[in-house]
Amino acid sequence: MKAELHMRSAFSFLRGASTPEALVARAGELGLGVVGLTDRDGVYGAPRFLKAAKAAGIRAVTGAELTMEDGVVLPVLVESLTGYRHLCRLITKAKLRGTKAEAPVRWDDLPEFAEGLVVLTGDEEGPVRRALARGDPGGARVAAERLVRVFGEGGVYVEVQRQLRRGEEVWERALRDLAGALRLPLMASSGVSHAVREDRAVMDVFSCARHHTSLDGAGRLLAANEERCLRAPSAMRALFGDMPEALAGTERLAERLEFSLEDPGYEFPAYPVPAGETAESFLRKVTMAGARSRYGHLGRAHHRQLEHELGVIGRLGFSGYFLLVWDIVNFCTAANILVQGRGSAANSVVCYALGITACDPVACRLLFERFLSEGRTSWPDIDLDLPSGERRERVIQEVYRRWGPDGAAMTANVITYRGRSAMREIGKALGFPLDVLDRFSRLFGGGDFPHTLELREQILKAGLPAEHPRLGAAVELYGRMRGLPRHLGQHSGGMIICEGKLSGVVPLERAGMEGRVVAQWDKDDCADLGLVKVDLLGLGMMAVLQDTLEMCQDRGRPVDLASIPKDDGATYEMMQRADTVGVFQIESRAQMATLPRMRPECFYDVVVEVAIIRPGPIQGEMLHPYLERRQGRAVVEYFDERLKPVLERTLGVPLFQEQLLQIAMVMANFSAAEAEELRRALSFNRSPERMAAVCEKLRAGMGANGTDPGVIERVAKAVQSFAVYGFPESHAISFALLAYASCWLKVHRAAEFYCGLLNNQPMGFYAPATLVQDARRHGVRVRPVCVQSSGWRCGVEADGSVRMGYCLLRGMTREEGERLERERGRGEFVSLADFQVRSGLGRGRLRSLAAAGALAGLSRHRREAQWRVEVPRDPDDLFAWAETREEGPLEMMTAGERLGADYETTGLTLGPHPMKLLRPGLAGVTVAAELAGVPAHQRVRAAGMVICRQRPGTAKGIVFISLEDETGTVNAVVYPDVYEKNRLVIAEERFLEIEGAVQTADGVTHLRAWKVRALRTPLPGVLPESHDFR
Amino acid sequence: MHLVIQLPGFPLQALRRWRDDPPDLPLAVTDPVGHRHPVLAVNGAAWRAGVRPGQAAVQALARCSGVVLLSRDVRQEKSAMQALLQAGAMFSPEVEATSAGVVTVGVGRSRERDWEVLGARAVEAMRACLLEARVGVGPNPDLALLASRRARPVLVVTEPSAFLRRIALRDLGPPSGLLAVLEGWGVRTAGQLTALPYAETADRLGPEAARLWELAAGRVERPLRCEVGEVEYREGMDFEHPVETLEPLLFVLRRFLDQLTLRLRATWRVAGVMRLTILVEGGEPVERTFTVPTPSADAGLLFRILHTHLETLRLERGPSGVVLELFPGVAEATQFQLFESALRDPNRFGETMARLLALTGEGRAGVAVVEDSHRPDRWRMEAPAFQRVVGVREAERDMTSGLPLHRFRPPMPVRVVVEGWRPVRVESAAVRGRVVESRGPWRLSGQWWEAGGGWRCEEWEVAMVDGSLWRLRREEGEWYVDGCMESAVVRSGEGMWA
Repeated sequence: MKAELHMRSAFSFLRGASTPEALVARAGELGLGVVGLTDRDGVYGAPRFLKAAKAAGIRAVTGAELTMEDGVVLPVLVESLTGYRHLCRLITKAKLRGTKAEAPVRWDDLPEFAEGLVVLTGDEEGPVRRALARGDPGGARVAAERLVRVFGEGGVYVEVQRQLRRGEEVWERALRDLAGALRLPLMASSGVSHAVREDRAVMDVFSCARHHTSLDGAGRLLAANEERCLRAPSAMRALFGDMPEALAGTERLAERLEFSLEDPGYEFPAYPVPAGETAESFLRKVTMAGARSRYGHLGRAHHRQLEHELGVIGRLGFSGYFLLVWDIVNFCTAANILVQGRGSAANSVVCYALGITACDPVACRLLFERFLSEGRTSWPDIDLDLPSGERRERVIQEVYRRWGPDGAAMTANVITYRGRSAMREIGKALGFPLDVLDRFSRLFGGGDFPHTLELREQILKAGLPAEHPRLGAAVELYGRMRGLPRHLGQHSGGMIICEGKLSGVVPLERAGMEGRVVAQWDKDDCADLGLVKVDLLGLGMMAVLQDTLEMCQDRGRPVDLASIPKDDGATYEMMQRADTVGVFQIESRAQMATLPRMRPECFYDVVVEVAIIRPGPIQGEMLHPYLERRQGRAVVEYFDERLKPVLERTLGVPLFQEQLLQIAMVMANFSAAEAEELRRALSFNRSPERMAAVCEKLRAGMGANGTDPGVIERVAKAVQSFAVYGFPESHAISFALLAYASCWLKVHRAAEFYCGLLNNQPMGFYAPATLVQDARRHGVRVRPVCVQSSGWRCGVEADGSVRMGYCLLRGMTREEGERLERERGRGEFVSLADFQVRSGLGRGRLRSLAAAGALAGLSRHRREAQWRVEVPRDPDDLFAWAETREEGPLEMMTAGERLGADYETTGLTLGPHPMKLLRPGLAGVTVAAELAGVPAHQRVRAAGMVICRQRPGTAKGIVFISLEDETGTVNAVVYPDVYEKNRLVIAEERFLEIEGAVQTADGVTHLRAWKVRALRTPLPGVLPESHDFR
Repeated sequence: MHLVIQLPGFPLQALRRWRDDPPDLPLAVTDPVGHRHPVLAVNGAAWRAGVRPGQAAVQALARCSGVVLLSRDVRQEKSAMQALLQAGAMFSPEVEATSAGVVTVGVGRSRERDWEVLGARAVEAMRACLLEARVGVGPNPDLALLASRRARPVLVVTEPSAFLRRIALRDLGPPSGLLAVLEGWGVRTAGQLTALPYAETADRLGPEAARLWELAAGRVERPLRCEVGEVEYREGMDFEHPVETLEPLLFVLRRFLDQLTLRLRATWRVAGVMRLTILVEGGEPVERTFTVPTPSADAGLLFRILHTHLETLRLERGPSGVVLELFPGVAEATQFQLFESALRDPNRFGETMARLLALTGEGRAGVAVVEDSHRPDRWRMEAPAFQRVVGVREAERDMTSGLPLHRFRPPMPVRVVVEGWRPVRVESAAVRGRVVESRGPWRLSGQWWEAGGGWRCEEWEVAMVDGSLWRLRREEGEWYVDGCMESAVVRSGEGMWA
């Protein structure tokens, strides 16, 4: 028998222990020809299963195990497209009716959706075996007859599994009798829940997780043996030698199940074009109109490019897709929601003309083929950046409104077991103490980056003794569990839409958020199966920009984002100083360390800056050669003089994917489509065979062009490594536009910009406390929350100062803040008593306002306000407002007390920095502002409040810490040896003192840490959050 | 006057009674159930290294990587608390269990009027119990409590108002919400609070604030709550030197039992369970719980149970201490059903069981209990339960069971000849000959997570020429006969499993 039709993967969530790929790989090793995936209540793993099976030359059958309302489980297999649609709708119906935890299928639902499906009687959870286990053979017959009534005589198979457990023969006899009596065919399966025997351990841990118990306490809840693994056809023949009819039944069933998920019956939603128009003609019309509006006069180059792109789009049948995205953009524009396309779409002049993207690909000489080329079968990928928060939600809800709840869904995000979660599950099953597991998690120091601490050592450090008898099992399990699906989440912005019912293409479920439904597939699965996806991504900076522009408009200093000059000297000077706290993309530690060396002088430098500080170029060791060439320390050279026009703008260093395409086109005469195929073959998911084939083609092409063999090798090598890390130039340009715009606003509209940042927290790298310190360093006056002046959001006052809004006050709700704003609109508060009565705020909120100094206009000092807000007021007292302003008995706050109250109420202070108060006790500690003047290699001590801790995956275990003091920021670099000694100090402490050597290069100063210790402070514990390991 | 005995760092002290750590070893007790396992108490070495109560365990490790984190032990705390209460009772019958590690004693009627001396005696009494105490004496319970917090080790409050002025408000134990408001006002000491106008403060912050104000002013008098919680029947002793013979240990235990049974009888109680803990120098304590078959307060009877156990107990090192606890039970009052017979003398039976257990070792005598495991015939021995009604779990319906199996214990090694993968010939003392029919294999495995990789076996059922049916097992390459089937009749034509 060369088919196995009943398998659960890890996408059955705790009921399967292998990935679909692992199942297929094992099936391939064993020589199986047909495999069926029947995950519990879904087809979550079906696309990955199909993809792996196709690659392995195995036929993939789709199916699912359905949990019924009475608790039994029915495995069903898909026979036809109708059957697949029915399965998806059946699951969707149950999922949308039930809860996230429990969504059983009703028996009454089955008849409507039975056509095209084949049902198996199942294993010990199936209705027939359940009845037999109750000692009720009559009930078993009734259950089987019920299935026959629903699925028809040819639609029911009696499933026989042999897992080498005593007593199986009794079930078998009963099942055989039943099949004979009802004339139902038998089929054999292994009821697979793991690919190989060794994965049974993972299955047992999952069983413990499902039953909330440990391995010691689970008893017979665990598997009795390891036989639920895949078996070779020969093993199945030997095992079922006495029951050939079951094997034959499986074979016949496998032949019958012809449906392939390759065509899930998806139809792209048609755009309602005006009468007499086709999608192509209408797209042409709106594109040309848009282009004329963008460019004014259309030159020959524009015409040529537009015609080329429209031709490709039309031939590929993607016109409707462009119209659909254009429609969403139009909605955003009409609703005054800032929108900008990102990604490779920015290579398209059509996208630019339609207003989807903001950079001119003709002027930037961008390569359209990176976005779209002839021969492409999958949908193009257009991502739209929207202001995060409520404005993006409006766009998402509009998509739901247009295509209906059954026609649109968010794509899923598969959450997998990673370091912490895997060890927690394993530890609980093995009975490790919870505090050991907690410590294990904390030792990660943030993120699940590649282990710099060996796993075994990390477990020991967490407190498990080296001689613990289960340590070995924990290490083994950890390796097996990492990467397995854990649960399904929701993608941040990916939406799929469909003509008709999407629920007939992929099962839909309720999302955690009200009003949203999520599909069972992630974005890659959707792309693989040809479902159109539009990414509606929330970007904090878009919200900041929109808010800033609106404030500028309100204050009579309007700015048009599109016409911000790209050659503003002050903006570039700010970047060169790495004075980029708060701006888009180039505010991270690594970016700030590069800016003074890069010294951007034009917009394209910003594009390079955005692209070069990425894991790819850093790992590909492109950063250093580029900077050396830029600073004139190394000669600009090219692999071949013919590549000069391609690589000139990046000084001979290939940085962008478009350059890869152009290299292939110039050096090997590749067409644009062939070049794109080369890029895809060399990208992340590359298969060795495919890669070898395209590389050979590339070499041959270069050879035919008369290229020197040495050059051929150099180019081929560069292309291969660079294809992995390359970044689309168009994407870099889109991001650089935002980075530049945010820098420009920081320079020229500082108050409004900081205001926008504060109103859209949390976002970016830095907490409000750091942003406020930065604002003050830039001469922006920031005023505290004041009930006589503040609104819910921060605002810019007439004198250009920023007035903090109630949104920064901890615990304050939007409703309360807006009520205060409205109440003040009716007239100023004449006294504190008047405020108390009119605000309607509770005692806790009043205390908070008093402590924050927000009642300063109504009292002499904070303490007096604190004393007076405690007086009970009767809202019905007509003269409650008329209070006597007697002096309270409380003394004024000291500077330290004000600092504490500030942090406690708003998380930031407008008074002296905490480090200033600690300074008298820090003899010999160098302040941030003086660090740059310290000679290189000199030993110094620096101290400050931690505002950022990072351990990038590309940094080989190095940790970057930013400490803020009253004069600026100290950037420390902690090498792994020092980090390992001080892991917990670095991860846990809010104030640090770091001793080390000053390192200075090209105007960038770092402190290389030798010693790290906690700075003990009497300051309050309610300090702002640092940006830790994110 | 009132005297407060306080055990600072109570959770740590309770644990350290039985520990012998070097004084410079940083120690911290954490709460294993709290969020992020907060530190509850630290010793001097840990304090000097920056570890503080309230920190998360990981933060404590961040401050001092060498700190030894101990998990809080509520049982030990209870035991220390009992010692504290008993020490309090030495001075007066008015003893209040004020809070964990704190007792308040009304000493107004004490004949000793030198409070320093009285306090020193209390410190000594606690030291005898291996506990470091601080003692405060004051005109009312609250002042005495505050004094105990500042005592080194004894502090007598003679001028309440001057004393109170410097006391931290937090030490007066105000509700957390009120404390937060007052600290927000900058009011952190009792003196600062009493500087505020009483009426206006009470008007703003309510009756809790008014009470706190009065407490801060030393005006609060409260009666002691002289209920000390659940009475424990527990005695313990540490020997100066490890005892080397049984007699001294039995002598001590007999005295304990005399005392404890006297207290039991005074409250009309009987002992249902005894727990004996023998502390062994440099080793883990040896603990044994005895169920008294028929609960009793007869010291002689209880002593015999202990004696039987100790007679055969072998310890690698001499006991350095002993703790005996009695747990009251319900006196025997059972009505049997018509055909049910009782043991003639359950206590005697219990004593015999104890003797058997002492001889055979724990887990090697008693009642066999089948374990919840896939491993065939996996069971363990449990001591018979005399006082609890054990519901007999109905055997799971097993549709697959065939003929009854006579199981060999232990299974018998056997030589098996295999053809292909099936046994064809069996040779052992019990069974020998050609296999005419076989069924299997049934595969079982488990406990893979244990060191050594757990167990794994394969079972077969075979029919021999003579019609007998046997169960074979192969484990770790060896074959065994697990047992034979009853009524092993093979009826030709119907197959042996009919």
